[in-house]
Amino acid sequence: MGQYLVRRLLISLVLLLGVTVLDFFIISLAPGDPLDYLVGAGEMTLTSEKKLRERWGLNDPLHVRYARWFGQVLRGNLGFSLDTGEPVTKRIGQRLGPTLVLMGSALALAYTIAIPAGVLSALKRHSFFDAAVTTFALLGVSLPNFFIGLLGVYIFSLKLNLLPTSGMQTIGAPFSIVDRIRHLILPASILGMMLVGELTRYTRSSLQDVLSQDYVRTARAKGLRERVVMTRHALRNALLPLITILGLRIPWMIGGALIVETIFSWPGMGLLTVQATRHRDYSVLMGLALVAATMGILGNLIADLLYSVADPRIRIQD
Amino acid sequence: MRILRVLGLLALFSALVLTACGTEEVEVTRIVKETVVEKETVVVESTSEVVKQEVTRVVEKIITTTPDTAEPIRGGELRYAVFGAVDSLMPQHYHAGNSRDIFEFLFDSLLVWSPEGKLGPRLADEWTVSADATTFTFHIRDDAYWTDGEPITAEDVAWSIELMTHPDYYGIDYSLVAPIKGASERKEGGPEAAELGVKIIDDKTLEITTEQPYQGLLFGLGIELRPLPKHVLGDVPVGELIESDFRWNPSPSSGPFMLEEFVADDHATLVANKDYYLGEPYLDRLLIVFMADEARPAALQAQEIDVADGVPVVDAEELAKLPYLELQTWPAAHIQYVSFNWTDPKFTKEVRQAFCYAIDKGSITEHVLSGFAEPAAGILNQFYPGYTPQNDYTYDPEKARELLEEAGWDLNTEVTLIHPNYEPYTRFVAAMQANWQQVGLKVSLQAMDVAQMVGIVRNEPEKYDMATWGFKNYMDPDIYFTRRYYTGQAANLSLYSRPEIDEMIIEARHEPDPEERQALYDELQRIITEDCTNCPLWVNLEPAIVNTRVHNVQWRSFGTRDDSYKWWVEPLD
Repeated sequence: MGQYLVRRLLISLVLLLGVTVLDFFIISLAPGDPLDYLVGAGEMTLTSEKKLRERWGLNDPLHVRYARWFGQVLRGNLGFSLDTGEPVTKRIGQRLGPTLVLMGSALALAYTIAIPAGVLSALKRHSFFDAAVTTFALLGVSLPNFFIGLLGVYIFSLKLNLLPTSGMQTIGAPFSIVDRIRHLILPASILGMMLVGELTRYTRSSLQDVLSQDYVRTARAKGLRERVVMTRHALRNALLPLITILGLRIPWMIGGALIVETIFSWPGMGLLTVQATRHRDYSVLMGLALVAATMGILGNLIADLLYSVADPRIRIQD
Repeated sequence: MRILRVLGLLALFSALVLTACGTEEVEVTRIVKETVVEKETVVVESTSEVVKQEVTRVVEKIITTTPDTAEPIRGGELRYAVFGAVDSLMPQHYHAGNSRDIFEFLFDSLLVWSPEGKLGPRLADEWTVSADATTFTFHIRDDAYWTDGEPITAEDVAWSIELMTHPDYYGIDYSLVAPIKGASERKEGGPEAAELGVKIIDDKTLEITTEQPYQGLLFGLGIELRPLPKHVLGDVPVGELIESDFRWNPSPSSGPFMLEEFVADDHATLVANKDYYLGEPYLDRLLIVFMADEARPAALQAQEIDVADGVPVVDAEELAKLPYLELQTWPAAHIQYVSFNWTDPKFTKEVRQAFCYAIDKGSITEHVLSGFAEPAAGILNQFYPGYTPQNDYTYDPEKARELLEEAGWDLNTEVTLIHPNYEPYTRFVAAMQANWQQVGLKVSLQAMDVAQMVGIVRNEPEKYDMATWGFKNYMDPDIYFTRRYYTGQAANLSLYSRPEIDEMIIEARHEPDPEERQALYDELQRIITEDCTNCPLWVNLEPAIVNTRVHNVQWRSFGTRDDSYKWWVEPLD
């Protein structure tokens, strides 16, 4: 196991390096740079532009700029946002919290609903309950989230006056958990809805599949109670795919959800990414690329490890 | 929607008239939509009976209110929506334009641009300009204090100016001080290179001398420079100012509000400066909320915020129907154009004019933009100083065809129009394309973001045919002409270049006599409009939504925030 981990980590580092190089060159291919953006906005003069170009090192060739960035990263410095002048770590850090809260809640909500729903649905196949769950799952996956989002705001905020329309908290009011939760409900539910659909279907089909396996029949034939058959044998195997999905969802959690963040003015990573792209804020974009790549690789690694823990058939051989 | 256009003009006219009459209050024009039930006489076809029927109609009533005579209530808070990157709360030491949304409440300028279209006093209560427009004297008011109790002095102003002439100052406002004697030498060679034309006459008076006559100094430095406190920052090396604590904790400040809290991308809480020299602000607190445009309509409707611009036109009209919200429209600082690549030989003057005559601006502003724009008539924004009416290129497809024939334009030529990939551009470019098609012109459309558009114009001009975008106007026409029409300027995005125009721009800049100066700008407008390097389209009338509990907020193209100390609110129940 130890050897495996070390090998995986080394490969991950190489992968990370490759991803950052690729990201850097792709970003720089986009026509226009941060100063072109400022010129377009009308706020630049030639003299200021020349000075800024120097200061931001934009006159240097690409590989020099990448090397400079890489050197900084090795020293733990992600540079400064070209947009706001703040350290990139600070800017991303500010957005990471709200993003994790939002996405984490959505994920937790989705799993909490999807697993029981999927299990029951598989057990009571072709019942009304099953039909209802399947339909709902289909809707969740098919309906565009901006539609559900706006509908949610319309019903719960404007008509019923139950929930706030946007933001993370009531501005100017002192901190309150209840307030934060109220603001979280709509955006997290909408994001969760999409996930619930997907997860429910996975759970249902996975359990269906397992229930038709020979070892389940054997367990029943041995005289074990149905409950034991379910928990110790069927469910444990059926829920394995969901672990993988969880691991693969980790990068999704970090990336944020642009549309939901826009509608609810949630200061998350999604909005930051779009803003940085529009303004060609190279420092922030590279910082985001690094975070995303790291999370993606980590997510995969965690998924693999969890799987090997859960399923003895694929324990890692040393 | 001609009503809205009339409205906009009515508002301006009333503002002019009423403020000229010496009233203090700010005037607000409202559209109120009322449901009117009328009894209509109808002949029923089948029985030839005459029947009285009830018909419900929605009637638009324009209420031009007499100045707000309600008694202002002290206290309360106003929630105001903004959006965008803020990179500093320190005037002059910033890049991101949105930073001004906050620091303009905290720091005052020397002069302001009043609603009636003239310069007015702020930190400076008296100012003079010499006959040859090279010497400017400002007197700082005796009762102006920093929020730490220290008086605001001529030293503060002089030092704030000096900072910007230092080679280590890399903010975007250097152009405000560039005309001052010695400024450019110091910018290149450091403080030792030359003596700066800023003299302290006494505690409260300073005298600025420009290199050449420059009327524009009042409109540039006068309105935009916000002095910083020398007694707090004087010892900080210029290059390190941007890293100092002051950048995010701007205290002491000089304006009607002080910063209490700033959470990046979330909100800023400002509290009233009780000792403000123009009077204690009515509001207790001003909450600046960072909110994406898309989230604003719902927030306004739920009364979670009180005041917001940037509301999409369609939503603005809907929101205005609510009894507790009102719509204000104000002319944008930007004027919209179609730019032609000046360096491309296929675009001769006749061709550019033809393209321009072929666009039905009246119809587009009325139907595609729902009346939230007024057709332009010249290359300057008609709501801004210095403007004189020019050829407005009124829709004339016949003339367009004639010009194309004269020019020998091959109707098989395909040209590309690049445009921003957001509203309202995405809506009206299709209409323009249809207009051009009617006269036989083949134009294909390409949407992209602004940075990319600028990148193409500057780095790949061979790919650049035409573009559409808006150019911002300023109080002094010189800034606009220099930035947009002078050869080689970064923002000269039509790549226009005519040596005689360059000369005229410089001449106008330094003309000491205001009337002579205006005559030169008239001539510049005439020639450039005729050249049609940028075909003038329209000026957007931007909608802003204000909750009716808010008083004295009058949205304008420039200087909306100058009245913040007069804003007041009725309590929320």
